[in-house]
Amino acid sequence: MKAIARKKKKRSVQDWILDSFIYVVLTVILLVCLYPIWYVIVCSFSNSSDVIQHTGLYLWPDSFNLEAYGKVFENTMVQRGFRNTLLILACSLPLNLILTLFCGYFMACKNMVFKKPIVFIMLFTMYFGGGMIPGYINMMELNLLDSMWSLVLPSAISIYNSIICKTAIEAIPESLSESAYIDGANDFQILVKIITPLIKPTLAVLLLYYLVGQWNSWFAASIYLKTESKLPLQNVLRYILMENSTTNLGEEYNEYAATIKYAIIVVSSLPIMCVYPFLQKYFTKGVMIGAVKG
Amino acid sequence: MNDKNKRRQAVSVKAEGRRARGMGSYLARDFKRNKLKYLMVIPILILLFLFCYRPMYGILIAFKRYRPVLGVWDSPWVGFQYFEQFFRDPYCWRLFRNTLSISGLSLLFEFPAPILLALLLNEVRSRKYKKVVQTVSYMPHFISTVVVCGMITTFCASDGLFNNIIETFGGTRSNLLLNKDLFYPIYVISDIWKGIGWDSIIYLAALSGIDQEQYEAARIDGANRLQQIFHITLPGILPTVSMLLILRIGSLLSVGYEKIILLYQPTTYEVADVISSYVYRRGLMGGEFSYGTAVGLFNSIVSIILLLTANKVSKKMGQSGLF
Amino acid sequence: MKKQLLKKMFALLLAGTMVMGLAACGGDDTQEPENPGTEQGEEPGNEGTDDTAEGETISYPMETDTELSYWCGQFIDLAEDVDTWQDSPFHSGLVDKTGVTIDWRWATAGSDVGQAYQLLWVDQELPNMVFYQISSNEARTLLNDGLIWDLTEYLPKYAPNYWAWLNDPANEAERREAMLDDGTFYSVASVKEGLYGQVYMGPMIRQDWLEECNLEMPVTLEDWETVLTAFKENYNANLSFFAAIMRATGGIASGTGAYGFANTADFRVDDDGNVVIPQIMPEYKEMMEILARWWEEGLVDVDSLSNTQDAVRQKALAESAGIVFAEAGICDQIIKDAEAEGNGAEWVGVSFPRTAAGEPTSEIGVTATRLTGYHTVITTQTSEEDLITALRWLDYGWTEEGQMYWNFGDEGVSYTLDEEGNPQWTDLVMNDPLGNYNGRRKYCGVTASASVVQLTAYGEACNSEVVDNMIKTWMDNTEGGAHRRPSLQLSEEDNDRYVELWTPITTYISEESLKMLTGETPVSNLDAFVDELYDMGLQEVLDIQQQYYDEYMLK
Repeated sequence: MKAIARKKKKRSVQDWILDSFIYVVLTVILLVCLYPIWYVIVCSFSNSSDVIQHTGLYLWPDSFNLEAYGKVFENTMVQRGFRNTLLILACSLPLNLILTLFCGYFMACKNMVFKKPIVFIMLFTMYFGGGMIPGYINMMELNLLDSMWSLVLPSAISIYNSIICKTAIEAIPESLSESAYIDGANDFQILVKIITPLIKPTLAVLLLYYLVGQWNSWFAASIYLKTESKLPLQNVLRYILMENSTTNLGEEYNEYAATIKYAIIVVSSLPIMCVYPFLQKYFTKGVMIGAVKG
Repeated sequence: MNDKNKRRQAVSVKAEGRRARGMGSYLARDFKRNKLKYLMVIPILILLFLFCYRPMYGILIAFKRYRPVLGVWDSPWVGFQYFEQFFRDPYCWRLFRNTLSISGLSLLFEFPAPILLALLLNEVRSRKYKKVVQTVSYMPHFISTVVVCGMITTFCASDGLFNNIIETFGGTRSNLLLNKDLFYPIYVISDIWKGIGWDSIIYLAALSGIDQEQYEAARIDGANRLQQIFHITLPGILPTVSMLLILRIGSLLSVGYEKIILLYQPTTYEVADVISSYVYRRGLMGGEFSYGTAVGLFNSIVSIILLLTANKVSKKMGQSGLF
Repeated sequence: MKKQLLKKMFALLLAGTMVMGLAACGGDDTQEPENPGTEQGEEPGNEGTDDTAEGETISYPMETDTELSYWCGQFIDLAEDVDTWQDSPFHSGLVDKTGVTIDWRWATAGSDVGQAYQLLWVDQELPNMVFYQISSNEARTLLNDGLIWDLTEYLPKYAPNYWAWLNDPANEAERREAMLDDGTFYSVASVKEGLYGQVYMGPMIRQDWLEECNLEMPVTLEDWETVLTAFKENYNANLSFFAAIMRATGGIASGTGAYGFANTADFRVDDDGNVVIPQIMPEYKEMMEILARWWEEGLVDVDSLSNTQDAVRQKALAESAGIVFAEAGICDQIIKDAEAEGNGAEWVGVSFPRTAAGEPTSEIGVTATRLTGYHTVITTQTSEEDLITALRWLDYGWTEEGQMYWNFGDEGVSYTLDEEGNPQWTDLVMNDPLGNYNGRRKYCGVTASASVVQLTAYGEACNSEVVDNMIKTWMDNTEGGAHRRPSLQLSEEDNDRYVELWTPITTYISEESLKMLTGETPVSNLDAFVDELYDMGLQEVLDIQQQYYDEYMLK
């Protein structure tokens, strides 16, 4: 009772100043980030010529126009692209998470003879690579050209993400896993039953990173896939953008050029924006309460 | 109590075992104990071998005059020619200086910004407001660099938004992108704008992992909010921060060319021309593969060295490091 | 989007010249593919494959079952609403006319064509024919490595129409460009009929303002200065460029062309046959002084260095520009904007300025010859028999009938001849639901580039009257590629050395010339600037270029 009373009184002038400072700063950040986004959205709903001709701050479409979106969605390739991307995600995300957990756990554990060399082998791949053409030849030799696996497998594990995972695992007190060992659990069980639940926020972030990474990637598909019906969404969107670009091979000015790139941004980002709120709940405080007792 | 004793016993048994047997069986022990861990890592190593190491012979392109039709193996060997060319180039040191300047400034300003945002968001009481700010702040991440640079160019034009503001405050209009003193601020600030929200996500996750009981305890002990931040929050995210910092230092020489190319002008070459943009321009004239690969290889080697150094320093300061 | 942006812009600018053709009156003396059969006669070379006499024009459609695969990058591609080539009137019509089925292949949708092209050669199976930008250097490597056929012996026999075109004295420069140093031919080239096709951008001026200020159409640089000064005083308007030209050429002053050079960091050949760069020519100083003065007096839009074409369009609409440089398509758009806005602006094409009346000016075409730089090569995946079929198929585009088909499609369906005998598009094409560009893609093959001659008539038919007039104005008294250095084939070592020296030199030129333009350094510094260039190895570069140029001229 007394403690609570004291707590209430402590919300003093100092707190109030701090709070206002925080709110002011955050609001500034909010507005600064917001206007360009708003601009993108407004442009995507406008007439092409409005975008060019409008002077001053563009806050609301001069003429509400869905033509840019029409251009994007009328193409049946877009639907196929969505489907393909979802398929790729369904295959790669579980793989990503599992492998990242394994890798992170491995990196976090101590007392292994071969840990250092193995970790170095992994780190090395973050900085050294063969280039586009040897990569292509490699795919060809592995017989993975024109297959979805050429998109899923090479990016199945991200060492960068594994390092983040490792950092999160290291935050868990060793006492937890030690006591589990003594109780007879093996590494696998520890990983699944103890560690995973405790690093949920980090896993949510990594899921997001993999999701966004895979969602936005287009380069691998552009060189490894040959059949148009297998193209993921980003490639299709790129194609549409190129088809409608201003200097379309010197031909006459394309009517949709100015607005279509904005429409594409909106279409590309919208699904991710929808996923994020579901993950946000993992970023609440208090995940660790009660986990460590003594 | 019982647990502690058990643990002590377990540890000493291990140590004894190690001393008592020999090297060979030391390894055997290691395998036995860490069997599952090694097993876990095998699929990862296979993937890395298949997709990273198998094509790695492509690095040899740096030492050959590469032609795609000839393939890597049949292209003629030229040794260190392209490396020499790079270091002989009259602009070489300027490129290094610019690259390091931009990286350094990025590190100084861009790295802390998301941390600060995360800290601020952490302190907000209204969950709704927190969510709104969070969501809006990461949206710029999804706007492609090309579009962002297009916006910057429009805003910096002599009849653009920024000049309108400047004029209102009594300044004269000019094309801001032509001014070499403004290049770094424009570059860094736009980077911050684009990345602050997205990069703060990982810190928010780290913050949610901090034990709330510590805050309770601190409050009871009379700490005010600032003190709480300094003594609990910051140390709580320190491992994450230091790990990301190490990784960031590893990419000190890697300033991407795309944004530079879209923003620089010959009048700002002096400060804006970095290694990657110069290599790109040269690549447009042909011979891009070998030269670009050589410079890239050099960059990679420096990166790994920086990474390992940063790692060592971090370990000395008490953090866990990479290995 | 790796090195896409600029490389693509460059390729697009290059390809952008494909739209138009030549300003000839009455387009019927385009080609006369004489039957070369009579001259060739002896030297059959490799007989035995078939017994049609060498060089004889065969009749189309041919009777053959051969199917050939043709990789075209992003060209000769399908219209937006056409899914397979079988549905495309042009592609399927071609089969009917030539008798050969083509398996059309393109770079995967949305991918970078340059990369797709590189990966093509790495693949296990090559297509029969490849259409892409293949320089002579590259061709030599491909030949040496046995990846493509040497066509020198085959062209006269099996592509007589193309061969005749090459050997026509009027096409001497093109013939030189299309072959390797030792006289080897490796491809069927892609050609624009004439200057009309090379000019795709230029200046436009506000005629209504000219009239208000009582000024004549400016001709010389002096006139331009007078006009711009008047515009500045009366309307606070200036001259606005867009940046891509400046960036792509690595220099400034692109577009004036008055001194016979438009791109200031490019090689030219002066009247004595020496390879030089504009910076070391005495006229350069004059030009720089004039431009620096214009800049200082605010006659040039300072945003030109970063403008996109859309930005130029905005400035035109906002009336802050009195003269603009833009591509034909944008010019058209600016005119439409002005109409929509109703501000009485009258935009008219004006010719490039010149130093004195009567002097020619150089325009911003990109190639030294009418070759577009794109070629069809035939890979060694193709058997000799199929090679012959392929050549014959390609040659169809060089016959009179084939040429019209490639350029315009079927008479009566996609085009008709008007009273003067000029082809005009029919409503089927012009009123295509997705626009007339799409319509053209359905019925003809030269919307971008193809291994045939793109006729001037094509461009004339495509362009609106306004744009047509503009292009003709821009072409007026232009020297075209007269002083342009043709593309040379350097050996690998020389090329390495050249690139090594040239990159820092162009960087330096870009920076310093811009500093002089904006007044950061005075133009009197020019001599020191030139000295520095020589210190950086300019002479060596010029010597290399000279050496290869002299050899080229002896071809």
